[in-house]
Amino acid sequence: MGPSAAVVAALADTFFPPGPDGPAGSDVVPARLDDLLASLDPADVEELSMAVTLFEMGAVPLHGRRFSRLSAANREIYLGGWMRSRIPIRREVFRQLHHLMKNLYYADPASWSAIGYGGPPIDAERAS
Amino acid sequence: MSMREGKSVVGIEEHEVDVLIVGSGGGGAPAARTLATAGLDVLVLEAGPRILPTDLTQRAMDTVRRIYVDKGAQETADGTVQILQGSCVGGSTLVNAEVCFPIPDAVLDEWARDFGVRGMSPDEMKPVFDDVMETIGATEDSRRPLTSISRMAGGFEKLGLALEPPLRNVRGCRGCNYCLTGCAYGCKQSVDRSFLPGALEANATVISDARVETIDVAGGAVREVVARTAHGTLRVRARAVVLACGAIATPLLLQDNGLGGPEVGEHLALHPICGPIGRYATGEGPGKAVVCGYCDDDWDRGYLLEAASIPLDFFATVVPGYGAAHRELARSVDQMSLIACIVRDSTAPGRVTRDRKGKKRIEWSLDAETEAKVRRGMRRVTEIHFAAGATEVILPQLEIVKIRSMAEAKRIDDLPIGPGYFNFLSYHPQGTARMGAVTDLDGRVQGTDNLYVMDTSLFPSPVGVNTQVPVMAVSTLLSRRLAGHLTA
Repeated sequence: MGPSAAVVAALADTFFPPGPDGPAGSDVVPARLDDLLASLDPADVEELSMAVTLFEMGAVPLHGRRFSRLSAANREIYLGGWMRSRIPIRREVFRQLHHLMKNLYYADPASWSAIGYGGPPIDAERAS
Repeated sequence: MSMREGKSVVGIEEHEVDVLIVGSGGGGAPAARTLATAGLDVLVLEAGPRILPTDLTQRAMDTVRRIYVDKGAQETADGTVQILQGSCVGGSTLVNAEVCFPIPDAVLDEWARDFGVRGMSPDEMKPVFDDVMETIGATEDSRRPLTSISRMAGGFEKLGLALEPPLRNVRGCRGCNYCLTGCAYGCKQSVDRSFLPGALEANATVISDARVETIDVAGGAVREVVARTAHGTLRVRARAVVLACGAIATPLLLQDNGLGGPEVGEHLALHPICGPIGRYATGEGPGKAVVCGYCDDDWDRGYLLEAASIPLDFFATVVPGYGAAHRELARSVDQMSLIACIVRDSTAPGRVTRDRKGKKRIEWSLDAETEAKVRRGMRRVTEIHFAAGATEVILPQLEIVKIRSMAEAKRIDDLPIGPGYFNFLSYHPQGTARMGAVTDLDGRVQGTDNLYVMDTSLFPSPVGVNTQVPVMAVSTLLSRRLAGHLTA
């Protein structure tokens, strides 16, 4: 089973908040994640789900509620805590999420205009 | 001559050949050409798919998922190094940056002096390198698209350094800069377009999508090799078997079959790459190739600098941070430039093995000397960016760490580079089946009569430069010896 949809959406929006700089993470990441998970080993999917659950529940002792139920501002603070944590496993979870979110987000052509990227030239060449 | 896909193998198929080569990349393809043109009957089995230029999309993530080992997720156990290797006909040579260097003389001398390697002196290797360079089109002409190199050239120059355009294995390069996603125009002379055609013309057979699992050795001789395809099994008997799966998969295949002795999988070197990013006031437009210039600075320092330009969808993924701060940086990714610092590992403390569940486990850590090189290299790159006019330099951390002047560069000395802080890339794993230890000086695996290794696993110490020409040359040399032996 893949990670919970609500947590994935909350994570994606914390990495890529809604605003003028391109689509919100939750508009782009979930569908691409589903597609990726379908191609992975069940054991790897399980490992990722566990990391996401660990991250989701870890907010309870600190903020009194799960990550996905925090305000956007508190989600950002909480995520930063994992990035800078002295506990290696937390930084490792951050690293994995960071890698996953960025790769999925920037794979989507909808994210490209915000970074000034016109897309690969081969598309137009093959169309003509 | 034939190139087949593994899905055409249904049920059990038996083959009897002179030489079976496992892997079709920078090690396997040159061996295939040498052995086939010597008149031997050669079969090449490749675990990955066959990819044609028309299959390529110039999209970073699409390519990574289709062509790279583990869909790009291959990394060290502690997550500090992401190890990128191609898994397809042609292997990593399909997705590399086309940089061509011979093995430096100092490295060949080191191999002879410290590891007892014979027959690979600079004089003996020179004609082999020349042959390889010609086969892959790495001629003076290949530098031409790069002669008007980037603004970074000025930064190197101010510091008394030179940024030289490298030799590249291309023919008719249009300078599109989409090398890392595989050349969609077929200009890159990866081994599937350079060495393999020569092997096929000489009647070699290549079967893609066929993963070798079992090497059955009895009385020192390989009796049979078994490979799986989607719907079938290949059982191959050969007079000689050559493993060329790269420095991660080759030692695993040996270990899985109880071959090669206790040093198999040890001494992994990675050439960790770290690249502080320069942010400039203006954009420069895409480069003409991924690597537009190199500078060996001072070879004793143990790193090679390569000024690089990568497509922005790829570049954005290495911009650190998250949330609004990441967005702010990523918005100006077209104003950023990269200088990759490729560090030559001082010792090779890594290893490749399997964990209790049978999953591959890659361990690697920075020794003190290599760490010092990483920091020196990062300082140098930072200095070059500022000399070239960068307004700030972003360090390769997960968190956004910016330096605005050389006075602030002291932060590099204390920068945490342990797991979960820092991200290295590696394109050059080497050393896990050392020549002179796991194999003899002909590449023959100890304790066997006819099982050979011909890939970067053999390198007794890291070559310090991009590994494609080194591996093609070593494989060419050793496969000539093997051909002589088999045709005698």
